[in-house]
Amino acid sequence: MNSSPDDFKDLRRLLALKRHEQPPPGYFSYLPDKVMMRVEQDDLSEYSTWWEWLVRKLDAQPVLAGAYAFAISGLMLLGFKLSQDLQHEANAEGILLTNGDPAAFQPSPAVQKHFANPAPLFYLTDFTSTDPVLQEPPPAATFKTFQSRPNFAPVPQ
Amino acid sequence: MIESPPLKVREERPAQSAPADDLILVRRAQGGEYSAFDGLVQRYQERIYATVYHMTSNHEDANDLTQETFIKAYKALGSFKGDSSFFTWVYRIAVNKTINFLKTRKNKIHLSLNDLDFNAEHDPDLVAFVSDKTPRRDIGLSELQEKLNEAMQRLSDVHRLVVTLHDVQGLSHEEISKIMDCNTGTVRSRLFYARQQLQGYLSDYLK
Repeated sequence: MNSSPDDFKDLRRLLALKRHEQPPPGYFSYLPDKVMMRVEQDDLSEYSTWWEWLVRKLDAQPVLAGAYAFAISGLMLLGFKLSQDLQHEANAEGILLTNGDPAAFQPSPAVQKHFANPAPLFYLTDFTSTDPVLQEPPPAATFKTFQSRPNFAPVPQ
Repeated sequence: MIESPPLKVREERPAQSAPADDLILVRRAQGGEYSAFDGLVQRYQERIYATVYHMTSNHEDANDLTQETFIKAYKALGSFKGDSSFFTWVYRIAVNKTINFLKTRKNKIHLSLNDLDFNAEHDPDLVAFVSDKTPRRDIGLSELQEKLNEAMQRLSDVHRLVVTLHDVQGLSHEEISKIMDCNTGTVRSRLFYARQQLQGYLSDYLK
């Protein structure tokens, strides 16, 4: 048996053809995505709850756990600060009652100005809910002749 | 008479051809970092796909088996200790998966060949092959491709594997012995036998 490079010269030249068989264009650009999608799906399905999966991931990657903790702390601080700002703003506007006493309530200047010249509330005093909204004269009757004959009484002969 | 150029012997890759940072990526992937494993997939997808494709001569099967190889590799990543290179390890998974698949596919061979790339016509080996006085030198490359694949499929799985890894992919005997878990003598004898068989099947197209 001898398999020196000179043997099977033509066969090996012919086999070079196999190296030129290529999959469809772009195949290798989407194959990794397909693989990773299936890997992640399989990975996720191994755990009964997302919580187990998360704990496992965080356990395997302390850096990721730290990053999550940092991000969550940041969000909480931001939320706290926002709520403080809102409260402060509300106090400045005088919306919140001081000492819980309604008598001590002082609306802000903006509110006071807004209500300084309130619109007339005549509609609450002069009308009832059953009154017509429009005060227009009644339209000319279409059947005026009938109005002069109440109850459609026969015309006397 | 046109003198054919000398046969270009493909350079064999050294046994430890895997980049040194493979192990770093593996360690990160073992820690659950998807992007690290994605890097490994991108690095070896073409070679794994090519091996499986040349074994099956079917693109769809090669596509499925390549994906399954990497998925299995990811699941088994915890058992990878780094004794061998990641390259050899993942190749072994691909080869075992493919051979198992071929056992179930017996006698149901369906060729689904990939197109030849533009460079095929300019490959020195093929130019030399066609310009030599072969009995069927007027045959087109596509027909030649089909005959070659049919002949490859007539080989046994292990013989086809050795020819694929050595003559098509250019791996060394040592590396093939690691992938196939046998000694280099076995690799050489299988290669010799496989070439002899192929030469017989393709005698109409060879000198």
